[in-house]
Amino acid sequence: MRRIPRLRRPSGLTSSATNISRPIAGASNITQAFAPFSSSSSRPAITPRTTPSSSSKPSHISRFYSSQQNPTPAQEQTHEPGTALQTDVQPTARIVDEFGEDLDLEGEGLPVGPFMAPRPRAEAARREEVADPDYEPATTAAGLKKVGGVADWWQQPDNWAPEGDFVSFRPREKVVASSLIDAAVRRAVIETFALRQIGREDDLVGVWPTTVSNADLQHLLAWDVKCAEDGAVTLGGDATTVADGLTWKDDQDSGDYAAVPEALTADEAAALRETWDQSWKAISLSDPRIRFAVTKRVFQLTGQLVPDHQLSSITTVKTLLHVLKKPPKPVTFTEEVQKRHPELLELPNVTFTPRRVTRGDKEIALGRFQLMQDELKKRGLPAHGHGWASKGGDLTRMSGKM
Amino acid sequence: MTIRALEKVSVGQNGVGAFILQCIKMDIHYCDQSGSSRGMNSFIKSELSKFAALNPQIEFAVSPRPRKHPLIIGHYINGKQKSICVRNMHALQILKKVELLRDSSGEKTKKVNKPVTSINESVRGVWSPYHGNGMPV
Repeated sequence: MRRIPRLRRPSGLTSSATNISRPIAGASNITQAFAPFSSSSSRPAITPRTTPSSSSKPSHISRFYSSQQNPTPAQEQTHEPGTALQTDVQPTARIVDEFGEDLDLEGEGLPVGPFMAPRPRAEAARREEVADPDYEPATTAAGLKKVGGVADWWQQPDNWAPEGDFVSFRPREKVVASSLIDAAVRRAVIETFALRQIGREDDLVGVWPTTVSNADLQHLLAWDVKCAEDGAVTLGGDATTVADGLTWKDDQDSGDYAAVPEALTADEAAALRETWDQSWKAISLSDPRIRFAVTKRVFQLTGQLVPDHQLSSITTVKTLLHVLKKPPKPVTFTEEVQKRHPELLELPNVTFTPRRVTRGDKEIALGRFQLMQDELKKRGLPAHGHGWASKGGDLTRMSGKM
Repeated sequence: MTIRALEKVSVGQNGVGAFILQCIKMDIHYCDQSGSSRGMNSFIKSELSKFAALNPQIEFAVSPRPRKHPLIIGHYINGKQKSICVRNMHALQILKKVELLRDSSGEKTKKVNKPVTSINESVRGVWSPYHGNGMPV
C-alpha cells in the first residue's frame, strides 16, 4: 500500500492532543488496509527550508544546554561511575573542537521547521582541561571579546520561513475549474452520506483530513452514486471504509513533505464526470446538517465559500453546483465590455478606451505633445507629472503625516 | 441706384440637396462604480452598438470618467460642442438624448420670433447713399 503523509491540523482548530510547538517533520504510518481519506496531501504545505530528519541530524543539535543529556543506548550500557567526568567533558571539548579554528557563531543557523534556530552554544574548555600551564581564566568580563549572541536573532526576517507555519482551513488557491468543483462536491456528498449511513452524526461537524492519493480519489469518485425517487441515496461502495478515513488522528499529525501526491487534474475530473449517473445531482441537501457538512467540506477542498444568504436556497446538489459555478463578476465595467461585448469594439466608428482620457492623451492624439515636451525641456520642467510635487499632497497634509 | 449682388449659381439651403450631418463626434463617458452610471452602462452594452452602426458618419469615443456622472458630449462641424449630463437616466432616455445631439446643428439655441425665415435677398436691394442721382435738400 502506498505510504502517504499527512498534514497538520489547521491552526484555527483546537485539539487537546495537538502539540503546537512540535516541529513539522516526521513520518506517518497508516495501518489501515484501505484508507482512501487518511492518506496524502492535496495541497502544498509549509515546506521548511531544509527538512531535517532524525537520522541525519548531527548529534550535537539535540543538546542545547549543558544540563541536558541525551545518552544513547550504547552509552547507557557502557556507563560506569569512574567514567562520569569523561563523559561530561567530552561533549564540551567536542563543541570547542568543532568551532575551534573557524569559530563563526554569528553565521548561518540551523533550519528547524519554519524558522532557523541559532547555532548551539559553544563553551570554552575548563581550566583543568587546558594543557597550557600558563592559562589563567578571566574572573571579570572586562577586556574580553564578545562573540556570538542571539540578541536580535528572532527579529530578523531572514530567520523565518516566508510562508510561516500557519495552516489554514481553506486551501491557498481557490479552485475554479468546473470539473474539479464537480469532483469536490461529489466527494463531499459521498463522505457526508457515508458518515450518516454508519450513524456517526457527530462527525458531520468535525474536522476531516484532506489528504488522499490520486488513485484512491479517482476510485472513490467512480462510485455509482444514485438517488432514488423517494430521495434515498445509494453510494455504491463501502461506507465504512470512507468513514474510517474521515477520522482525524493527531498521532499521525505529521508527514513527509517530499511525498506529496499529485492532485486530481481538471482533465481527469472531466473524464470521470462523463461516467457519472445524472441522478446524483438530485440528492437532497435540505437537511441542515447535511448541507452544512457538504458546504464546509467543499470550502475546505476548493476554497469556494457559499454565501450565507444563498444557503437557504440550496436544496439539492444541482443548486449547490449552480451557486459554486457562477462565473465571477467582472471587476469593472470596462473589463465586462472588453470580454462580453466584442461587437461594440469591432465597429469602425467606435473607439473604446479602458482608462480615462486625459489632456495629455488629447495632445498626443493631435500631435502637439512633442512640441510641448520640447518647450518644457527648454525651461527645465518635467514632461510628465508634477516633478517634485507628490500626488495627493493635500491628503497627506490633512491626515497629519506631513 | 442700388447695388445688385452677384448672382450665385447655387445656394446652400440648410443642407437641402447635399445634406451633411452636423455632428461629427460624440464622447461618451461613464463611471465603473457609481450608481448614476447604471443606465449609461446599460446603454453602452445594449444600445450603442446598434446606434453606432446606424450612424457611421459619427465617431463615438467611449471612455471612463471615474467618480463623475455619465456625460455625452457632441462635437459639431462649426467647432462647437454640446454636452448633456445623463446621470440616473435609463438606457432609453439616454438614447433620446443621443438622438437629440445627433440632430442638433451645433448652433446656439436661439429664440425664433418670425413665422417664416428666408435666405432670399430683398428684391429692392440694399440702399446706398453714394449711388443714384441724389436728392437736393
